[in-house]
Amino acid sequence: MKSTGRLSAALIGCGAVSQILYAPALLKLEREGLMDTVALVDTSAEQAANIGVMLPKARQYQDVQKMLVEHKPDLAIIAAPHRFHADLAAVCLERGSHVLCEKPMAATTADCDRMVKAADEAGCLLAVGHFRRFFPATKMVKNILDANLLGEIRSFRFLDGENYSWPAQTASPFKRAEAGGGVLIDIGAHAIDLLLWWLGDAASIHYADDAMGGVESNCRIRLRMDNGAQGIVQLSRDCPLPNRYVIECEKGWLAYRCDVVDRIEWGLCGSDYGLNSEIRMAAVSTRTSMHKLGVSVHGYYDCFADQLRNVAAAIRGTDALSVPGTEARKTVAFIEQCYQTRALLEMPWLDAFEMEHAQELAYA
Amino acid sequence: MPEKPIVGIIGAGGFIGGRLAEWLTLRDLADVRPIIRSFKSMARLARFDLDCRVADATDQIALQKQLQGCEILFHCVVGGRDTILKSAKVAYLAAAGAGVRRMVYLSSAVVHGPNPEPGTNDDSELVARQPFSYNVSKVMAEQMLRRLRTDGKVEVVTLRPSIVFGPYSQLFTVQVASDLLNGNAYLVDNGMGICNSVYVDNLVQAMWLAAVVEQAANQDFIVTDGTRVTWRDLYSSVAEAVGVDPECIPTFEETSLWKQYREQRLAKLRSAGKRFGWAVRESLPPGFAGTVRGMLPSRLGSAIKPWWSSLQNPSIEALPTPDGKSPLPIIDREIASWQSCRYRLPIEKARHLLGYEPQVTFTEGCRRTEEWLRFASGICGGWS
Repeated sequence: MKSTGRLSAALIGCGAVSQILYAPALLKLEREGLMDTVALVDTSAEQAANIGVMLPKARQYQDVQKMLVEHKPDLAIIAAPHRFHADLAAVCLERGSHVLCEKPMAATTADCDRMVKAADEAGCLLAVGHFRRFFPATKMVKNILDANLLGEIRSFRFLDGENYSWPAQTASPFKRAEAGGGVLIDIGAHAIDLLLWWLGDAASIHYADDAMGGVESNCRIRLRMDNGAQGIVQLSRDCPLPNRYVIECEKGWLAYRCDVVDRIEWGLCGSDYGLNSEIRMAAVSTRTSMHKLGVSVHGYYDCFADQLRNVAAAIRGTDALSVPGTEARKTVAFIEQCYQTRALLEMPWLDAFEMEHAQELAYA
Repeated sequence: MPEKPIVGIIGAGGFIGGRLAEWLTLRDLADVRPIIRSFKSMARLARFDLDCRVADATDQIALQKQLQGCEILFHCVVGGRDTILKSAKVAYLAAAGAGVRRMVYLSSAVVHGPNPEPGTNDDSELVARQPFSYNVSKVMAEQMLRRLRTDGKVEVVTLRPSIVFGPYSQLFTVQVASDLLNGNAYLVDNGMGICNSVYVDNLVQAMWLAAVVEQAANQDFIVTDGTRVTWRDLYSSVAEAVGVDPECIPTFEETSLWKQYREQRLAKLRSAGKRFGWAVRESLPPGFAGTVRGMLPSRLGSAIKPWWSSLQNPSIEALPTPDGKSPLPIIDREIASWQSCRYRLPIEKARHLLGYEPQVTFTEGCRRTEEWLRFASGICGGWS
């Protein structure tokens, strides 16, 4: 573990997620004196150059191996399409770099296992970018559920979807061979990660989606958790769903609104009232030793940077990884099970003839 | 024509273009080649294994390249005036350059005006003078295509649907549902105006016929469901789907509505006139009031902007209820004019020449739409 000095990082994959999230976060950490970005890697020189505008000190490469010959970054951030995650992680880990891999960890559990094994053998850290776990709102939900404040969890309903607006640079997110799937493996990786983090493992899964020879744009999962809670997860790339995760408990309910980092909604069963609560840092008064509200919590982009700060702290040995590869593997295993047991979604707005052909295309 | 033609669809990422791609694929009628503006438009299309291409519909060279090998082109592009006009022209020229045999152009029944004169049919003269930019643009696009097609390089078939509803319709399904839930929906004259609706599947069926029926070449067709549907019928079906009592939809008399609109417009003009005078005075440097000398153009421009915007705003302000409490919905002039329609557009020409016979009844179309709304239950903020 590197206990002092600035860490060095290489950003591998310079597509939309790197432009929108990683580059600004790395710039922030550079200004904080925590981490310097030394290399940008993308097969497209143009993409790397786009990020290079924000991180001018970093050298640009089109080949990972070449970069690794010239550098041994403390941290390799892998933000390439996820079919490349396992191979890229393996070469970086072999070189002795710790790895932060963008979600989903990989397209298959076999790849996940390969990554975990490579990290163990190299004695390096393997973190996965489920950054919604760094939102104060999702942490608060976790705290409330773990403390059993609202009693046993009875049911849940996670609705997450919008018209696809991510500025995809290629058709890769829409090709099964490249993306491994559609909405489930894409935004679903976040939803499933939170589901498993908050509620524990699933006992039974019934999965259906609308892929008919391509990748799904909508999916619906009915599931029962090990703790007995039953619920639905619905995801969409073409319907603006409420983007709200509601959990009903024995004594009350709580809800998280997607990407709202500093609020949760909650209430008590039987009460006429509900709360839309702002989350602040907790503090203790030095004068009275009583708890009080402290400063505002981090916003969306700072939460993303918190993910990098956590990895940096883990490299220094001052904190544990929040989302290690072994934890993120559960999400991939869940998604894998969904795809293996998939059924065609009921679409009663199509006629019988269309549904018949849809079945043929879906199971071809 | 080979058994399965290759068909290009520009605007395939939208409501009608997307359904057309799905409809053709699920019937195995054609090899569909969606042509979209950017990768992000692929989400719905990517459910199928289609040959998606990316090209700007207003870039002739790019479009022509992606149309190589297509026999038929469906033009389903939506947008403002510039996009409507430019994409229609570019599509024709690109189709001609790529050797496309026929182009099916999706126009709109608004080319006959929002409230067509009795007796209007497919071959009536288009109404070029209209209050809404979209309507005028569609008229101009049709006229331009008529001129272009005289070169005989590409057959053009123009379809004029009116109120297209169904799953994924933003304007006449999702927006209506949202307005109903938010208390912003309204009906004119108790919703008794003629809707001239067409369920999206009937429209894509007509589009396919327009593509393959020989005698359709260079003809224009009005497309509706062919039955008498009122605006109350349409709103009631969506209201029931989202759990709103249709009897609670506020209704306005057409005559009082226009009177109210005129009064509000006059009041706005009077107020704007005062603001304009004030703006002119305020834009003058101190000590030079009453003269135009020394006027600062940028300051004047910014002072005039709100006045100009208020004149451009086509909506009537929220009207107070008789008890003066909760405001009634804001009336959109364009929607109000649609709802004032008193004429049922004929589809005899489409029946006769295309062999078009709507396959989905209004009731069945409403049922399917309701099913989809239930599935996409979060669209309007979640009612289930």
